[in-house]
Amino acid sequence: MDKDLLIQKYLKGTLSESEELLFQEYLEKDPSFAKDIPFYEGLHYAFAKADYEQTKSQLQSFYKEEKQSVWRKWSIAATILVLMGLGSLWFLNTINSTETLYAHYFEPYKNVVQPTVRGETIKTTKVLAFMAYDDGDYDTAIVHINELLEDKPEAILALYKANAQLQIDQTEAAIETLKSQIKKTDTIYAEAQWYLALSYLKLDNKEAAKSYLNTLLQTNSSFKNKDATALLKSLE
Amino acid sequence: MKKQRLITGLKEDRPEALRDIYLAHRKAFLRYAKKYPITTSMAEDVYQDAIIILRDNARQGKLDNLKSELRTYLFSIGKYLIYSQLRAQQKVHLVEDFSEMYQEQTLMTDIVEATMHTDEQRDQMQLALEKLGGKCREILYLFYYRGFSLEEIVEKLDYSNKDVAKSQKSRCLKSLKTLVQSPSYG
Repeated sequence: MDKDLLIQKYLKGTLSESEELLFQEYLEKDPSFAKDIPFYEGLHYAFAKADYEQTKSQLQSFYKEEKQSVWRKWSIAATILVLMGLGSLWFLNTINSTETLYAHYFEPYKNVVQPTVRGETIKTTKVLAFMAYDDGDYDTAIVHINELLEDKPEAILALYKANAQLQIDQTEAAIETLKSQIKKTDTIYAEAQWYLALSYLKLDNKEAAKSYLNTLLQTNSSFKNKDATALLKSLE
Repeated sequence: MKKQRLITGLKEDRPEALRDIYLAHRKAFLRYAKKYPITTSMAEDVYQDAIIILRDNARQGKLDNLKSELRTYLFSIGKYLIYSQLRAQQKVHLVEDFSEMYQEQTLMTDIVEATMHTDEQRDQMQLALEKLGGKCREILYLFYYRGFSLEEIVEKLDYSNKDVAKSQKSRCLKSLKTLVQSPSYG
């Protein structure tokens, strides 16, 4: 059996009885094999630690995200109450202007891909991209995401790119990104439809916005379903 | 089936799957944890660890034939973690026998270990990995940590074939060894 495979199984803890014997035999008879084991254990440990810490902060970001979205719902409700209270025709007219609606509904897609870990020492392009994204440095984020996309096209990265583009008012470019890089079969297809609708809203193209909202509601995803329904109503 | 979809999502490292499972049971778990003499922040911590263990077990294919609900499984891990913490603080004697249920939870020790202090050698490994470059790190991560076969690596990282992946892996391993042995690079 391949020594590499044996080491892989040892680290995973899945050596069978006969493999275990073989492993012991190598340990005794092959000094270079024995010498390397602490190295592999250290490697495994370093990955386990990084994986654990990264997932941990990812989970924390999910929680923060949820808290914020609850807060946002209340803030929208409060805004509507205030506007109704004022009862002014002018306010009622402006709340339905596409620009206000965009401002009301747009929030950048949360970074759930690469949580920024404080003090993390290993900085890949992905980490750099999402650090910039989290810091609101969207120009830099786009540069790094482009590098990643060149390397390997990934729908989720395209979604973040489009979000960054929307943030720096490159609305047409964002539409192009969403349309060309996210396919119907991608898991984030619904998310892409939502941001396409918002992009067209920003361009004051109500009809296109409505059609993307309808597409979103036809998917199986529950992403932004309530928001999409409410927004469609305001656009009627 | 929803359960199977979530498990597959976890295996494929989809952030949405992790998020959905995490958020779906969080409140219920925190309520459940109130039965035990632990603080809310400790319960939150335990819950996150339980999610990570669930994910790790899913990755290893241990949940492929899971008969119970995900929630039941998750809560049992959480309960186990609470007990081990309380036992460590000597607040409780472990009366329930979890050994049979958890003989497969090899990763538990990894997690416990991961939260402990690091020594110099381990820092050196981390430093070396940082110097190594993303592509190399990824292939080593997949092979030595996740236990991917070369075929799976070819697919995941878009190598043209097994031999390319294999020689890339050896090259990366060699560079890493050099880096670990000579850390005085500036």
